[in-house]
Amino acid sequence: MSDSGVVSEGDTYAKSETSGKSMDQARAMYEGAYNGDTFTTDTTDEAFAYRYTSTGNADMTLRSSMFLGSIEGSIQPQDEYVVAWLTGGEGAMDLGPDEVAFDLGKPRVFPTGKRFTFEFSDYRQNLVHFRAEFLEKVAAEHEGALPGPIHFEHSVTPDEDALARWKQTITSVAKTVLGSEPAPLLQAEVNRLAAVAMLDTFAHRTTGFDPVLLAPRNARLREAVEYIHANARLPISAADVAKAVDLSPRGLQQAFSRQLGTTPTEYIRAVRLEHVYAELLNLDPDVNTVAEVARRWGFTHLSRFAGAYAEKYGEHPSDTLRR
Amino acid sequence: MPRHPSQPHQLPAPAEGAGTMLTDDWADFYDAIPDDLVFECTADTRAGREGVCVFQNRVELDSPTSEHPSVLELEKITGWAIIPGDDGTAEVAVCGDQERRARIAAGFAGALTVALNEVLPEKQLTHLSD
Repeated sequence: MSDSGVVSEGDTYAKSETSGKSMDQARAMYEGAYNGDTFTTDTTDEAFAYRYTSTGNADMTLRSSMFLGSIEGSIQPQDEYVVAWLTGGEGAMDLGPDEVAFDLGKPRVFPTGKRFTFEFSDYRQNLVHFRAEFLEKVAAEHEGALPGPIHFEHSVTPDEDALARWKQTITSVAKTVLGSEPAPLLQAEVNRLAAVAMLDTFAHRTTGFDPVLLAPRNARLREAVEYIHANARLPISAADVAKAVDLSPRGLQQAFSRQLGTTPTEYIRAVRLEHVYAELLNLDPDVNTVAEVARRWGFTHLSRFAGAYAEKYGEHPSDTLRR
Repeated sequence: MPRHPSQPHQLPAPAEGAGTMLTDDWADFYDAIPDDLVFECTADTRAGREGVCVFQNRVELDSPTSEHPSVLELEKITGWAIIPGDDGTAEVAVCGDQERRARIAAGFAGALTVALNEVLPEKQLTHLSD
């Protein structure tokens, strides 16, 4: 759910709720707010009611969801990472061969970057939503990874020691965030604590550095590479990169050529191509097109894009989308 | 006075030996849902409360610029409309003796439309007069 119901902008702390007692309302609310479609709902033995609450700021929100009926559908997470656990009821996500059932009180991470199906019944759930860019930045600092998408292994169950640490941290974070509005510095600190706890608890993959970039003499080049990965979705150029790391355009060109065997412009294009590949792998071919993903990543000349893509990945982008 | 006065809440201390199971329900940090509530979508920020509550006999609109909600009885409402914004929000306009407005996140406009159609059928306006 990318939308917390919060109208406020930026880093403003907000506490919001949406609730009601009509099934039609609930279906519209969850579809609209979860970027979902074709939700089906039904009543159960309980009197129907739903409630969705959210507290926090743009980087992290602590949420609760109650739905006293049955609901199933598919959702496409966008620009966020989510941990959730049931405090009542039952449910499962990623239905099919990789299905993950929720055990009461045991946190699970939502599948990342792909549309997935779910079913829940008479449930109460707590969720922690992290803004993708925020968690990726914390991962880069905490793990020395390149800023970029994190792939969580949602079917891997964390071990008991990790879960104990998660519980301790998230209980403390909840005390700070849910009780009353924390000071901005405290809010930033608990957001970071929770983000590190998520990274330490749930199995995931990030992108590491080329070993050549770890040499102290290549510190500037490493900065340039980090800058490119962190800003690949923006309209950056080689000149922007050079300026960001305080090198001349020619100096940057030489460093890329000598150490990485490429040019800054080609490197930017390669990083964007990786993002396209990752998105195509996870998107639904019935809903998305190669052209829209390519354009989103700055590839306006589609036949040239398809050629570069096929050369790098050995298949046509539409074949990746259909996989 | 706020409609649902916020009360300071305390999370219970974890029970000894509770293990790794997470049992707190974060909804407990919010007030109970009123019996006559049909739909609520509100947000509290430092600037104030913003949003809309639909009850069985009235609609309440909150805006950060006003300390108290605007309360409109259903029988005096002549029409309503939801106007999509271009910043991820939508505005609900309710017309009675005068027009009142409130903002909500765009993702909740669909649910609010359903709720207002439940209590104010056939009063949805396709356009608003100036």
